[in-house]
Amino acid sequence: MVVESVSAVATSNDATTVVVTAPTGIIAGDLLVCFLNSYSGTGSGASSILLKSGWSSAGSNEWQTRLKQSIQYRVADSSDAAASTFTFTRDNDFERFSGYMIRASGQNASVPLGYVDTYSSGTINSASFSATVDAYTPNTDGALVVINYAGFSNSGGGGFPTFSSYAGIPNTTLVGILTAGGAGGSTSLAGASVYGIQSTDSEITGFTANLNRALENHYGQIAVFLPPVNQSGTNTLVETTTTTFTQAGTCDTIGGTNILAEATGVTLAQTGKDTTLTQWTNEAKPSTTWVNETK
Amino acid sequence: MAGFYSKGLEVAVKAVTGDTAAPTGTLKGAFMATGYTQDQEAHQFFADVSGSVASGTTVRTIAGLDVRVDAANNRIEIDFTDPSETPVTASTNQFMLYMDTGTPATSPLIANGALSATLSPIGGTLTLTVNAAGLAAINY
Repeated sequence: MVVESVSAVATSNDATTVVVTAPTGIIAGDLLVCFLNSYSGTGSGASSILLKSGWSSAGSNEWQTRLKQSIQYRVADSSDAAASTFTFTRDNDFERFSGYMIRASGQNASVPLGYVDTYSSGTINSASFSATVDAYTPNTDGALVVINYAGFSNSGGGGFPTFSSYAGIPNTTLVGILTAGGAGGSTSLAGASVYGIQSTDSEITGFTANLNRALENHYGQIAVFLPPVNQSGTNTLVETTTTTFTQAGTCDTIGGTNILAEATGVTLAQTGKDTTLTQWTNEAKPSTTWVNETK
Repeated sequence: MAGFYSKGLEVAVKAVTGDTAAPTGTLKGAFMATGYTQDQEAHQFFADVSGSVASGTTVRTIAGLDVRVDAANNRIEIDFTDPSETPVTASTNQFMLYMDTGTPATSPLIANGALSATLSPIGGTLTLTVNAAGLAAINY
């Protein structure tokens, strides 16, 4: 997948809506992903982020009913391509509401969303943390990994938290943009939208991040959008078996003649000669006298 | 299971011997479900196997048909352009060839070839890269 463009961060205060400027260049078929964070009060001051009509949820998260998170997505149509803004809503107008949108392409047309999970880091009062999520391996290369991060400190002041780095998703360079935050009084809040393309599918088990100041709690949500999984294979050749017909009967008359077998006249070759000639000599006549024998 | 269907061979032999004219129509193919088991004699027409076409796929019209003599291997090969479709989510491990007469009950099945692996595209392109020797061959 490819992240084509990114919208500016939109925020509102004490309002039920946040108006997100459309990422540039939207065309029908693009995948729009919006990160939303709402920081509000507790009890009657709590608010929930509403799912925008025509959009789908890629998970939600909350902390002490005060901080609400939502990732929403939609495959763009012609009306989205013509839109200049997108308005998202929550059910209470107390304190901050922020939104931020990316436009991506190359997603799976049938099932673009592959995985969602939430996390809550056990690391507290730290400027760095490690988030652990349920292990997940995308089924193909090129998945879009998005993280909606939130950090909170109730220890007071300390300035506006910012992020310095994100890491830990294999084969993925994470890009983060701060979407909301606040500092003052007894509360410090920070939120960040993080995304990256995983070049080669590998198991995802979590990620790490560093901030410029310590926060008491770190939590958030993660989602993975998938490109299509293509498949190609070949066939084994289907063949008929060569048939050998068996003899079904016997022949009762066998006729024919033979081809004459002839020997070829062979001239033997001389292979040697006698080199020591010996003259014949006379031999003595035997002296034995013949006698008659009885029949 | 991979092999020719007896019906397809019967139709071919009857056509070449002048016994019965060959059916006319469009040569088509289908990715078959992994659970399909070919019966070379009982499965005669497309109506007999249409329920076993892999879910999520559609019957493909065969293009680039090439029926040729392979003298080196003493066989007649049936080859065609690699069929594909997109986007599709399916699971298949065999491809079946048949002659579509326009009526499933009279469309004779020709051959069914096993794939080298089970293909399970998810919202992507499903492609059969036809064997260099074709989908099927008749030895002589």
